[in-house]
Amino acid sequence: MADIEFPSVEWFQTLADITKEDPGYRKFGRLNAVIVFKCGDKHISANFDVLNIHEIREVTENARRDADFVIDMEPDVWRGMLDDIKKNGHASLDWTLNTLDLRFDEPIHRNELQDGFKADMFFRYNPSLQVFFDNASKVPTKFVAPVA
Amino acid sequence: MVQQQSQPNVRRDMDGNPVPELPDLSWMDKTLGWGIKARVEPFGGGMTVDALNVGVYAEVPDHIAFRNRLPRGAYPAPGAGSIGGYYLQDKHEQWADCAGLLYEEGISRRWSTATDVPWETAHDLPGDVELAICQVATELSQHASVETEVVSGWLQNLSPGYHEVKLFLSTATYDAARMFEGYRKRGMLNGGGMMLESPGGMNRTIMETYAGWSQTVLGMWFVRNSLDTTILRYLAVYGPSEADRVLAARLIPDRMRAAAYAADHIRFAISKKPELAIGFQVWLNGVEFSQARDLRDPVLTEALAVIFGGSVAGMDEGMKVVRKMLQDFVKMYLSRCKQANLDRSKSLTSGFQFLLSGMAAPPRPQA
Repeated sequence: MADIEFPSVEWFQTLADITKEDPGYRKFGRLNAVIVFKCGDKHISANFDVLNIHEIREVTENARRDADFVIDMEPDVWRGMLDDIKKNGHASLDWTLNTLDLRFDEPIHRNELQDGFKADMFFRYNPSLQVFFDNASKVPTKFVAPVA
Repeated sequence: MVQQQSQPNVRRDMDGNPVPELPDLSWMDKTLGWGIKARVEPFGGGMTVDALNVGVYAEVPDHIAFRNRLPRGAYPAPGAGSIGGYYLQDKHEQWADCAGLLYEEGISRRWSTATDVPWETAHDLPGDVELAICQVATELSQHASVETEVVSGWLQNLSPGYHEVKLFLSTATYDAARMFEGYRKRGMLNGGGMMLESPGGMNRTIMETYAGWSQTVLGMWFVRNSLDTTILRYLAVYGPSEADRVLAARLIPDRMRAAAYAADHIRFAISKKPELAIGFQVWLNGVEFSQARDLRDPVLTEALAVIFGGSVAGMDEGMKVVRKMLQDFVKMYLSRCKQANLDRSKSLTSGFQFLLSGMAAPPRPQA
């Protein structure tokens, strides 16, 4: 497989296709959340719909309001996380979503409209999302530098 | 010859032949929603509890008139009346729109501490760290034990008409039981066992809440749950072994389902009865006081400082993490209150203000 640019719809679609078939993902059970992943000026939305992951598309900044929550990290943090996952086959302790959420002054997740119920889905579905990103070890990735 | 007696009650057909008596099948008419079909969710969701809420079955009344076990949407038996119990008959006393979803999540995302935690990774820790994790395990398992008793105790008081809530709470009881047994197993793993029980003020506050289920929710799932969840988040990062980190990380979604129900329920209650907000605020004053008093006991925070610092010698560094953790606890609590339209940002009691400012423990009140 040729290297796929990150961040891009194709990259997240590839990750979703791998994850949907992953028994390790399915064992964590159902989830229901529309999540926007923000890296620099790129916004990719994905609908985690029970055990499906679909409607992956690039969206505008304004569409963040429609998401249950946004995962927002600086490009170098995204790269650090994905490099670590590639190296270890999964996120090591310093690079899990939970660790990253605690590491910085501001959490990496939020609901744009300050809806705590939706923002808390980050915690409710955290094991599933960790498996999702751990599967990035199987995606040949080429980093492009989005505008921060 | 004995003349056969006539049988006037025997039904006969047009030719005069007797026809057999049929049973009384009038019960077959006793349905309010015959023909209403529930549909299966796409994408592997299956037949969910929320999908049953169609037609007459989707009508969730604001008040259940009878204190009995009438299933919602069923045809009431004429003589059933009230049989006692089930005294929470109003929707605002228990309802949360998300309860059905959370029940399905709880079932779908079930797991086992017996087989999903790599227990073999938690051996051969330094003695001081093992002692510290056993102390934390003792307190967390006790917190969870209290929760199982409290939730299961309230279940019998909630009307079956709001079955989504009762279903979710049954999984919440199981979730709390999982936290209890998970941390009891952790304590017992290497011979440390159960150590000093928690101070107990919050346990009593939660167990002895007679004001109502909503007030119980405030103490148990706004305050105590915020503390426990924050501790788990930090143990998922600073836990001394993979087993400790996995156990904590796996418990967080269980805790957060309870938190989601709690905030949604209180928000709903206030939306129906705005006057409840004042009483809830006053109630939280007392709960915050109770929690702050428990945190004045240094055992839990010191044990966490040993874990976070890696040893007794590293406690000072570990205590810095504890202070940050306690700040995060109050922030999570405030967020939950705001989520429920019960803003506490300007009415935090002094003990919680100290925690929010980065103090490891609230000071003792002046005489």
